[in-house]
Parts: sequence; structure tokens; C-alpha cells
Amino acid sequence: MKNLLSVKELKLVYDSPAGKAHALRGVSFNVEEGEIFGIAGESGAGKTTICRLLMGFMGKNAGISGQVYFNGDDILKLNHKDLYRLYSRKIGFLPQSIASLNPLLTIGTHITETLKKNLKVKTKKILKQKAIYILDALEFSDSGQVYNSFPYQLSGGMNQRALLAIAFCCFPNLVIADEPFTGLDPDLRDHLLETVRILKYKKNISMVIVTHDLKVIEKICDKTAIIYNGSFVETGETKDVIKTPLHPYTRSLIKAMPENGMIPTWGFAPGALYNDAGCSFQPRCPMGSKEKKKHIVSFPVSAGNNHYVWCLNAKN
Amino acid sequence: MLKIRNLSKIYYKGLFCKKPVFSLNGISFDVKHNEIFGIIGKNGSGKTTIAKILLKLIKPDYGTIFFNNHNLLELKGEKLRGFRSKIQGISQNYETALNPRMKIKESLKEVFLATGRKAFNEITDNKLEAMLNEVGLGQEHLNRFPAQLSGGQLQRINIARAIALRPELIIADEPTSNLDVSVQAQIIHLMLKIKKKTGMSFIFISHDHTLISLICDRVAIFNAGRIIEIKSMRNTEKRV
Repeated sequence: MKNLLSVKELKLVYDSPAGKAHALRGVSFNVEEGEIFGIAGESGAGKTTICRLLMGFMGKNAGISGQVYFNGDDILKLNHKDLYRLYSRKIGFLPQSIASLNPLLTIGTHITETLKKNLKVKTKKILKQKAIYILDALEFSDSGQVYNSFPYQLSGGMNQRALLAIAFCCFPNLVIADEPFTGLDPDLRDHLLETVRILKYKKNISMVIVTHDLKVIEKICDKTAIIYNGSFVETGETKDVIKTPLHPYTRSLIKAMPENGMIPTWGFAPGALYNDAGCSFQPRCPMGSKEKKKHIVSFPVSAGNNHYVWCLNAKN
Repeated sequence: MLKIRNLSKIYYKGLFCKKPVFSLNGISFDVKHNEIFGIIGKNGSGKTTIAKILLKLIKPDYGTIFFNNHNLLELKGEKLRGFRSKIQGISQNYETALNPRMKIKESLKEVFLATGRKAFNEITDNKLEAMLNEVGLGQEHLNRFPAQLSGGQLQRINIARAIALRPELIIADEPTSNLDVSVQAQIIHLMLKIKKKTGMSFIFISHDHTLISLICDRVAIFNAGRIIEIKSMRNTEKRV
């Protein structure tokens, strides 16, 4: 399959009063057409930073280095006009919070505003037809009523589905979702996941899903990357990463799930200011020792089937 | 310890023709000493409403709440202030629960205003440090602002604030739903440790069935403002 998005050695360094802070320390991944790529990790690891970089929300002054190729174009080098065209038609964004909806506009207006950028014929009737079509696809029982409702008139789950409708309404090539199912009850979450899966198959849409919920990753993602303190620690097919985790951090995440007895790994991530050349998980690592801290883990160890681990002890 | 009988809360929907919506519809349950009582339900089933009523942030329309044989809904003035230190809450939104313009030190100290101005003035940095040590943080966090801490650390500070006055009941409204699994496990273990040490009771609200079944003694299942089942968790041997 063709590569749709290709990220190479993406880094973000910014100046803080305490020194240089490394929000991202060289992240590389590829997303193929019709593939869902999941990124999981704890808060502060750099998940949202990746989303913001991919969406071009970071200013030109931020210390960004690396390449992000979308359909062959380097996004980081495009001018404002081209970027606007790209983001309004080819890349959709699914934000985390329902607070992203404008409380003064109806759901219908939200969707038609996005559609206007993409359709050649912009009569009210056609825009409404298209909006109702996408609302129907998301299994709203009364699409006409939802079209005319304001966000406060809908429940949290319905608003979340409305956000899905806005992100998917012009059927973009790629949707970037930043913690899309956080705070929803499991029934509703599974229902939305199923809807996303159906939309993806029907329209061959690729997705990058950033989440801290490993259940979402397990249910929907084809490939997964685990991120810790600004760098990937393990990447591969989801079934490999979740079923046979090799990095001690991935193992600790899986052990900490309520189903597996909630065994915590104590301590905190060292944060963006950590500037040691060695592995940043070493202070919390159950296999770590002082000698191993000296080793620089800048290249991954392959475990076959595109499964890579950034750990020298992985094979033990 | 806590006795809730026939509690109802009605909201009115619509601008002109007011249509009543029962957020809570005749809720009754008891919470015993040294117990973790779980509340589980879908979004919009009235879980957060009951937490708000117990913290006296909103008033119910019908029903009674007895806390240690005092009717909560009739308390006023000085008596109400004394009661507030006995029931504390931990919020779901750890970021918005703290004032972004106050240092952690000031946020922690603010809690003691409930015990009177004199006691408030006597609080020293050492005491605040001891509070932070209790939840696994250190002295270096005292002079930081909320924006300089991670989600897990902020939730620990919220817990430190909640347990500072040694309340008898803590209402935890989805305390871990916005946290990742590894931090969630840390926070849950911390809460269980505090419960063991101090003998507080907890009302633990969540929509994660597995989590509730792991840590709670009894669970009430909410649906559309009603309790449809209260059950005690049998699998005690599996408990964390």
C-alpha cells in the first residue's frame, strides 16, 4: 500500500527558563492508505505535541526539525495558503473536548461551514442534504433535529458524535484524532469505535489516533507506537505490541490496566528537561542498572514483523 | 454514617414550555464507616449530580440526607462550615480544580481557611511539605504553579487537599478517568493506602466496571436517575 503520511526524525525543542526542553526527541513513523495508526503513552509524553505539529498549530518560531511528508509534500515547508487548502480538504481533525464546538452555532452550521470549503455547488439545499447524509451515517436517530440543535441541547455522547461528523463530513484522506473517546462510558465508546471503523472501510480513510486508553488501541488500531518522554519506545502491529510487549514500559502499562490487577510502576517521567544521553525510562525500569544508563538507545532493536523496540534489555 | 432517602433532583428543559427532566429520581442508599461505595452508570445517569448534592453545591428538590444523624439539608451558617470539613471531594477535572494563578503552596494552605483564620495563620511550610509527602510528592513542588505539573501530580495535589482536614467521607467523582493507566494505578493505590491508614469512607464514582469491581465494597448501578441495583462485590480475594 502507498504511504500517505511519513514522519521522519520529528523533533521539537523550546527554550524554557530552566534550559532547553525537548518535547519530542526524534519521532519517525509511516501511515499507509486506509490504516489506523495509534500512539499511546502517559500524559506529558508528547502525544498532543505530535497532533499539534501534524495539524500545523505550532508557530514558525517553535524549534521544529525533521520532515512530515503528506502525499509527497513536506507539510513543514508549505506556505500558509497551501496549508489552508490541505487542512480544509485533505486532513480532518477530531479534537478531544466537546468544548471545541461553538455554543452559538447549531450542529448543522458547524458541518456546512466545513462542507463549503469542499463542494463546488454551495446551495443551501445541497449543503443540508450532505450534512444530513453524514449525520445519518453516524446513526443519529433523528438527524433533522440534530441538524438544528445547539451543542447544549445534546448529551456529551451526541456532541462527541457531532465532532466525528465534522471531522469526517468531507471524507478527508487523513483524520488526526487527539484523545477522541476520553471520558465516555464504555458502551458509547465501543459504539463510536464501530462507527469509525465502518466509515474507514467505506471511504478508505487513514487515521492517526492519539490516546492513553489501551482498550481503544487494541480495538481499532492496525499499528501502534508507545511513546515515553518524547520518544517512541516500541512500535509494531497492534497485536504484537499488546500481546507480546517487549519494552519494560509497555509491559508496565499493560500490567497497570484494571483487568490485569492494576500493578503500578512508581515514579514519574523525567520530563522535557531531561537531557541525558541514556534511556529516559532507566530510573523507573525494573531491569535497569547504573551501568546500562550509559548506553545510548538511539536505534531500535528489531523483533521481526516490523516490531521495533528501543531497549537494550528487550530480548531478556 | 451517610443515609440518603428518596432523593430527587429535577431540571427544567426548554425556554418557554418547561419540561421536567428527572436527573435523580427517588434515590436511597447508605454508606457505612470505612467502606468504599461505588457508583457506576452511563453518561447522564445522574452520577455527578449526586456528588454535587452531597458536597452541597446544588440543592435537591425532594428527599433527605442524614450524615452522622444530622440532616445535611437543614444545616446553616457555622454548623455547615463545621460539616464541610467532614465531607470532601476529588474532582474529575484536575486541571480546573486548582487556581492557575496560585502556587501549590497557597492552594494547599487555602484548605485550612475552613478551620478558622487563627489556625490558617499557624500553618507552616513543614506541615505543607508533610501533606505533599503523604501523596508521594516533595518539597520542590511547593513553589510551582499548576501549569508546571503533570496530570498525575495535579491529581495527587487534589487528593492532598481533600485529605488534609481528615474528613470522614471523600467523594471521588471519576478521579482517574482523564489519566492514563499507569498513573491511574498509582492514584488508586494511593487512595487505598490512605483509606487503610485513616479509615475514611469513599464514594467512588466511575463508569469503568472493571475498576469499580476491583476496589469497591458495594456498588450502586445508576440508570436514568434511578438505582437499578445495589450489590456487594464478592470477589474480595481479587481486590488490590
